[in-house]
Amino acid sequence: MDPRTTCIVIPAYNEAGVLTQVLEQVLEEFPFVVCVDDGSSDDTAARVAQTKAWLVQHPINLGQGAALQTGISYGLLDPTIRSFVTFDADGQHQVADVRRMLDRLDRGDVDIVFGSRFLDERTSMSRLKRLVLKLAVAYTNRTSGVQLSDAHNGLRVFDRRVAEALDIRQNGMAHASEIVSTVAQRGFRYAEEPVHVLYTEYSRSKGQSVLNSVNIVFDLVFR
Amino acid sequence: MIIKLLLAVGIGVVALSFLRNRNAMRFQAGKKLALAGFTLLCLVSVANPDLTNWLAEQVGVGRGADLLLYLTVLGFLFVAINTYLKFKDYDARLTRLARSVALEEAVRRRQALDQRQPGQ
Repeated sequence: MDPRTTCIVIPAYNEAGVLTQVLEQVLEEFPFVVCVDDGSSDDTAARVAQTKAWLVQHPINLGQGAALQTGISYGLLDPTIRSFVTFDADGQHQVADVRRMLDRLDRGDVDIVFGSRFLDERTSMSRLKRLVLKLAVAYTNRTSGVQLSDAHNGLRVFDRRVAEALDIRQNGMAHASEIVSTVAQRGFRYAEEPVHVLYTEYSRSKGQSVLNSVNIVFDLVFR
Repeated sequence: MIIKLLLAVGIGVVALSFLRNRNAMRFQAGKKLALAGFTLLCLVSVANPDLTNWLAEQVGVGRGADLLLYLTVLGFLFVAINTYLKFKDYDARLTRLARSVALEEAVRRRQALDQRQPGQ
């Protein structure tokens, strides 16, 4: 697949620390990178402006789900874009995984490829985090009727039709389950690809606490 | 006791009504009717305090004041969920507004850049 027809969506909220490095890495292979600054109070926007990535700036903080939807909407404005990638700003995702997932999408038998941390042993995480994620994916599988091993990973690759169908209303972190249920409802074909998520000191300090799963469940019940 | 049944049903109705048809016109009207009924009840019980005592006895509660407390708790639950969902609705509208502002600005910036570097 021509990397010029791929839009990489990177939501960023107060990520000035490693953002430049992450953006440069992605830009080496993919020229169309949209970084959505979700109303950051640090100089995230300035860092993006220094790179060749497109900056879309929320005037106020809305949440990661909202930032993803904004980035996807921006990508859709360009009619030459054929595929979309959602990618985290904190450096925990690998460009090599994106390439593999795009190859998988390119085979044409699926519409969306989810990155999974549980298909091999490369990703290490605490036992509690593993348990919570497993419970979360069991919940998502049950409510949407799909079969996934990891539904709450920020790394996804999908084609333009899926992007057009997505209408993320969960501004917070419940958007992951929402994306899965859209895929299930619209009958999109999906696959999983093993990915390596690198939990650095930095991403751990920025990452969500397991307690946030309480918020997610609440958001999903009273939507 | 009848009151236990009434309160349990009340809580169930409050929770369920918000989960199901919260935007239906009937539900919106129902909220206003309930508010009107509650106001009327307040007025009546101020004018005639014995009435709440009588009502309390009918449903198996000791005193009228206790009955009022229980009803207040139920009302509070209703208000809490209602407020939470209201804020969520505002949030959704705010999101759409902020998104369109963000996109418009980004597109304008891109066009300005394209004009400066023609052929890019």
